[in-house]
Amino acid sequence: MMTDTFAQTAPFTILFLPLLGMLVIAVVGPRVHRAASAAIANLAVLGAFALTVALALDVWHRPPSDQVLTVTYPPAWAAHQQFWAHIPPLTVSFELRIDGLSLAWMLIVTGVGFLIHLYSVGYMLDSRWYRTFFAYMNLFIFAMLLLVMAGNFLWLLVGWGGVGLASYLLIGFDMHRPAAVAAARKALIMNVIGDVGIMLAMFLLFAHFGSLSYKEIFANVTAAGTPALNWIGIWLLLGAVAKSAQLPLHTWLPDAMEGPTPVSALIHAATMVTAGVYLVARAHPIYDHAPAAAQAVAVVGCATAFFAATIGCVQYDIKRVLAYSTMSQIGYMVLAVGVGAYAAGTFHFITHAFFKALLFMAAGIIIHNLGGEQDIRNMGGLARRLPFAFWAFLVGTLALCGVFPFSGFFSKDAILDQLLVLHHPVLWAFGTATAALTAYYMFRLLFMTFFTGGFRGKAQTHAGTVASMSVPVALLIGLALVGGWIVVPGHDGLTPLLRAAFADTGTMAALDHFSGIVSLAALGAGLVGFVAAYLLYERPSGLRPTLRRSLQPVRNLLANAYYVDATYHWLFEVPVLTLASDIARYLDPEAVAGGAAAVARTATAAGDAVRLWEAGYVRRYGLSMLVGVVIVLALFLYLAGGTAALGGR
Amino acid sequence: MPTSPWSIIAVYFVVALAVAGAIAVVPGIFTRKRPTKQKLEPYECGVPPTSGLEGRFPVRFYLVAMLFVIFDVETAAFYPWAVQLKALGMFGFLEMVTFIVVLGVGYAYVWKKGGLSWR
Amino acid sequence: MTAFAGVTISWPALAPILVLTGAGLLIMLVDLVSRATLRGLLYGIGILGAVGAGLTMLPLYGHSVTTLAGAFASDRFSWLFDLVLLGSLAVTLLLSSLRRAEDGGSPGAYAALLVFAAIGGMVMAGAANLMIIFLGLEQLSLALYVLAGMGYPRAASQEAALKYVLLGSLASAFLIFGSALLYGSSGGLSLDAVHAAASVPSGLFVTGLALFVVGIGFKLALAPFHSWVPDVYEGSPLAVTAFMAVAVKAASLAVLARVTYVVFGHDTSALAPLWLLAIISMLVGNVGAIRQRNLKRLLGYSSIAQVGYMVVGLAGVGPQGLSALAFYLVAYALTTLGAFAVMALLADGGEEYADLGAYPGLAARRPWPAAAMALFFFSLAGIPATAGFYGKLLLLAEGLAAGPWGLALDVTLVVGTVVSLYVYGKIVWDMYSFTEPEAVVPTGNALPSWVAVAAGALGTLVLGLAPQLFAMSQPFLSVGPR
Repeated sequence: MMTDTFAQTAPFTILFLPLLGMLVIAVVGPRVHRAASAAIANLAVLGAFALTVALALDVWHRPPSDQVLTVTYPPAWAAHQQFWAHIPPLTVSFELRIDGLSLAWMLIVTGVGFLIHLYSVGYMLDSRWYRTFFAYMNLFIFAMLLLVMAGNFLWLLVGWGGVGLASYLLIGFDMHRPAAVAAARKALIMNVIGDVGIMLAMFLLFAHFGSLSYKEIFANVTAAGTPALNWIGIWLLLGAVAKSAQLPLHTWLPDAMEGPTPVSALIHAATMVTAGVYLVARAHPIYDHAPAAAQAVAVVGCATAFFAATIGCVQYDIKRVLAYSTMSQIGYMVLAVGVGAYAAGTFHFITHAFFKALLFMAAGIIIHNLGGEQDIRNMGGLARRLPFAFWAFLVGTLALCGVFPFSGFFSKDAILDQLLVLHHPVLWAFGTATAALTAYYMFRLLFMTFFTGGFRGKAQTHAGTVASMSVPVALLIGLALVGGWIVVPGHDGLTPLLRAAFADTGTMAALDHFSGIVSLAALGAGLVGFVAAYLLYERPSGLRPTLRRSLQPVRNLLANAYYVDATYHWLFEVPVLTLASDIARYLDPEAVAGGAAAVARTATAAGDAVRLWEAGYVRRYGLSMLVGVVIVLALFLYLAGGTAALGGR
Repeated sequence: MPTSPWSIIAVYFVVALAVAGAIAVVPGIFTRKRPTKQKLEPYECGVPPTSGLEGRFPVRFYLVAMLFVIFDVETAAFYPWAVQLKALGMFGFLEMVTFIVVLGVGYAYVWKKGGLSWR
Repeated sequence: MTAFAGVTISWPALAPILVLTGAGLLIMLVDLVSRATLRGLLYGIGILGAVGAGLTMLPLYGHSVTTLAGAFASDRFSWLFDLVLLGSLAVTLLLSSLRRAEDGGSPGAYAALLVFAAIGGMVMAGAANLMIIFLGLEQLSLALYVLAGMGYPRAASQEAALKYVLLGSLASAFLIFGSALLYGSSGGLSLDAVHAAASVPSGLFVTGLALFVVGIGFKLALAPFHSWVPDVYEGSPLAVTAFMAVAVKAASLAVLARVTYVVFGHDTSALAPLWLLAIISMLVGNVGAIRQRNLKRLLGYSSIAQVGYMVVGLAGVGPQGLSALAFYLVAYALTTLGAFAVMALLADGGEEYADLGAYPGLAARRPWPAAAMALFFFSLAGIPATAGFYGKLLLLAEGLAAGPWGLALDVTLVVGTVVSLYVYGKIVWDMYSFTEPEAVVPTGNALPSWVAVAAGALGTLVLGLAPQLFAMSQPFLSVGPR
């Protein structure tokens, strides 16, 4: 019902509450206690979450034909065919699209986002820029909501750029550390490459459809023809790849761990990096008719899932392991949406947000208590010292590895199952193999952090865990445990919400299809990984040094992340820098400086001429005007047909 | 023969230029110059000049002159009204009253601000 | 309606001008009777007059009336321009209220002249007759000649007044000569008569048109008739400069747009030299601004370029083009008045903050005025989310629809924008850079200038974020019936 006031006003309120929070903090923040800033930020996100829940329930209870809302603001304009901007031939409305897909993302962004805000209240307590942090966090929530709620590609791009900005600000939050600033810059540059991809896609969309609105494009998507749709899909994929840290634009995500841990949890695990998944799922009518582009999506996702997992096996920084794990898991989601299993991809996004946020928060408690220590070689035996963190981490690990009945089991299974149902055995094989690697690197991380002998570090700071940090962690333990139960065999609680959003796709299958073989294979693979990690790290034997020696080249390859960063360094940075220094050394003194001097001389001469002429003498100004008059008069007469017109009427 | 009505203007223009030019140039060629002191003095209404031209005039002189011109020109607007007094009727009368009021405010302003006093 | 001697008078259409005239006379009378100089009261009467005139405009919204035997039109087009003029009058009076006794000039004469100048502008906005155009233009110009010299304790102000009056009267001479020739070739003073003559242009007509364009071009400061701008803008009192930069441009653009629209209709090919002037202006204005060290001079050069932009809206003449021009004019008025208001705010109406040397590190000392200034510069440069951005988009779209000349205008507009990004970006960069902390913190904090700054910033943001509000309030922007 478009007359429904709640469904009209709620999206707008949800979207702008966090922005309002940011503005209020920016304006009154310096005048009130820092706790007030934190409270404002938290309340803004909590309010948005509560409204999102209400909106989701509202949509849930509608008939399926009415579950996709396009809300245009202000509503009065929509009725009068008015637009936000009308620059012929382009018209853009400020429209939001509310359906199952955007609601799923909104629930996670505001819900998990709120928990992480709450966590930050304690975690960031020592920060000098406490208020600024919360302002940035609210800005991020706003931009992310705009991204997922946008009703056309223009507003999507605004949100897309906004989360890039918020990410940049938050990665470089510790701006006195050069590593953080470098990481922030890298993330921004990589993201902008993706932004350009989306812009190119938008140009193509506008050229073919004359509109940027989802509604109008998706309604007659076939009009453009397959080659055009393939190109659009490829450019959109470029954006998705950059934002979701997929191969080959993934190198910024591990570096982004320079940001504070809540930022890693919120932006670089739970929400922003999944924007690429959202984009492909949102543009599913395009990908459904662009087989080549869809195939590229699936292959990119599968490759990222596998390769990121292999890299994760040899990292020593606790947050970097989690970062590679995030890349790998998002690879799963991209793979799912690439083959058309949109609901499965969305499902995995939801559970992943729970357990990955949980893992990051648990890691944050450890880092907080060890005074900033992140290297797992300097940890060990922490299960006794930090039991709460241990249990949280254990639940997160089990969920991530897809152990029954934790949430990850259901969602990962759904993806693997759909791969077989949709006849992609090779992708399925890679997916299952990745499950083994996942179990290996996660349990390796768990063992090295919490067991494997005693504590190896020196840091003795025991900051304690404040309530604002433990409460969200406890909640997420529960969600990581039961979050997957919305879809169990025989009961599918997610598809009814998503069905309307994907009504036009042919590959939408129910999620509650379970096949024993798939589940057993995945569990078996996980078991293999677990056993490998257990044997290598918990059973001291000669095996580990032996393996280490024989596999040294592979280790090097993985520890350096396949040398992608180094390749980029040699491909892009070195040539540019060499060229620049060559220019500086040879060209500059001769050509450039000489040329510049010549230009400067000319400009100065011209400037002097002008200055001499415009010396403030009125008579000269008058003379310039007269010359101008003569020229203008001559031009007018010439253009009017010259002398022929002079003969009179 | 002239094809445009404007060509007559052109002929007039040329003739006027020729006559004026001749009057200015011809006497200069044919007269004999015997300058005396009196002949070289600037002519000022027949009154012997008191000083040279390079002296400064007080700015008030221009001010009064300007004010005179302004009010003089505006008074000129009364003549056409007076001629058409009956035809314009009451509306014309009120219009002129408004005009005088506006003029009066300006006059009062100038007076009060000392624009008319010679200090 | 009152009729006499065959002439109908629509009082509602004339009411805004009459109300303002009353306010101007009242200012003069109050100035006479009050012993102590009640500066606030005088400026207050002016502002109330502007508000009152604005109120009398409300019933005219959406109507189109031609009165005084077709010499004066009150239509959607003049309505909007009148609004801009009244707004800039009110802001100028607000900023002028900060003037101190030592700044020179009698406050009564100052306020009354501003009001009369605005009336001249409104006459121009509605003029549909060559004579009325000249009348309005002269009223506007004569008042401004005096106002330019109102800061006479500073020699620069006297210089500005002298230059302005000498060059301005030259331009007026061209304008009246051009009007005379147009009259001679068309046999009538009304724009409709001129329109009739435009179909078969004679040499006389073209010459008259050229001289007319020159005269208006001088008031608009289109290059190469711009040379007076830097000196006059720098020398005039701050608030008067703001008024010149906005009101004079608005009124002259109204005349130019009406003449273009009424006389040439949709075929504007005869006006090609005007497009050339616009192109030169965009280049000269933006390049000239690069080396300026005085913000008033810089904004002067900037206004030369901005007028060049707005002329693009005339190239594809028609309701769309007028809309684009009007939108950009409103955006320009808001940002320019805002920038002058920030200058006035920081220096309490004085001239200290016209020097760009005072701006580096301003953000650290006065964050809010610096932020407002940055916003205005962003809008002038055309950064998204500001009014200027959307205005430029509209103008570019108009240019694209206007053939080869339109394309040339568009290219120049883009080039000029790139140059201007450097000009404005550099100042913003300076404001937000770290400088030595011992720099003096400006003390200016007067309420009137805060009001002006806030109004400008709010308008710039609203038009930038919800540009369609403008199109909705002006849905059928058009010039009245011929």
